[in-house]
Amino acid sequence: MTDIVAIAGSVFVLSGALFTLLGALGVWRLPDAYTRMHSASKAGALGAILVMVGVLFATAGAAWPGILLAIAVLLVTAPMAAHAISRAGYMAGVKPVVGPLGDAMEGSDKRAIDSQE
Amino acid sequence: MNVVLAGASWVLPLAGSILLISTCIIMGRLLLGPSRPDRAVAVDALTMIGVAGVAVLAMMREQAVLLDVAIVLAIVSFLGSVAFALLFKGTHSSDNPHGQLPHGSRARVLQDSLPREGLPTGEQSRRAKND
Repeated sequence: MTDIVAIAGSVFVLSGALFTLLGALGVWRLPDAYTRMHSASKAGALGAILVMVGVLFATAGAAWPGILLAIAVLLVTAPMAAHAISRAGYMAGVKPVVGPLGDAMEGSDKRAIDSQE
Repeated sequence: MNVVLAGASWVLPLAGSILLISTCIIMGRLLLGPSRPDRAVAVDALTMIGVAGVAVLAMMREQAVLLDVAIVLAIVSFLGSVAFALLFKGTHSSDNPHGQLPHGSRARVLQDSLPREGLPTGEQSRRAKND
């Protein structure tokens, strides 16, 4: 039983580090700010959460309130921060690299702000 | 805090080195990134890596206090990212040089910060009076 928990801790920590590396490669390779945002916020947050779960297994649940709080904070704040940055970037006029479908938010930025007020 | 890991002699150093490689890659994007959102994204990703690295450090040193550091770093990184988002041009009411505006005028502030096309100057001044 202890062996299984120890192996699970190692697997979670290593997979979390690998997901973080994948997110970093995405930030380096992807073409524009929005796809980089997608890579950083999803793969990066998942990597940090997996490392936290690895800590949970490695300590046999000794520090579980803090670890669960950290996971909850990461789950709540990472998408909100990514959304805020990408929305502000689009409002500031940073154009995305678009495919054949075009820019779905073309011309909608002013209407979106008007409906907010 | 008692840490039990399979292969503890190499798992934590390997995870730490992978995190260091990721940090170097993202530092390159932070230095190169052509637009400001690119750099804000890089800072956001760096703080994510920081949270993971502090957790790995907590296991290496076997100190549970460092997990609290990870929590606080996650919260502060969110605040920092939102502050960066407010710094982009034309997204905050402080971009308006005339101070306080009446209700519902935020969209007009945004439009004023963008280059106008096809509007004659008289039309602009009349609009400004009406605002």
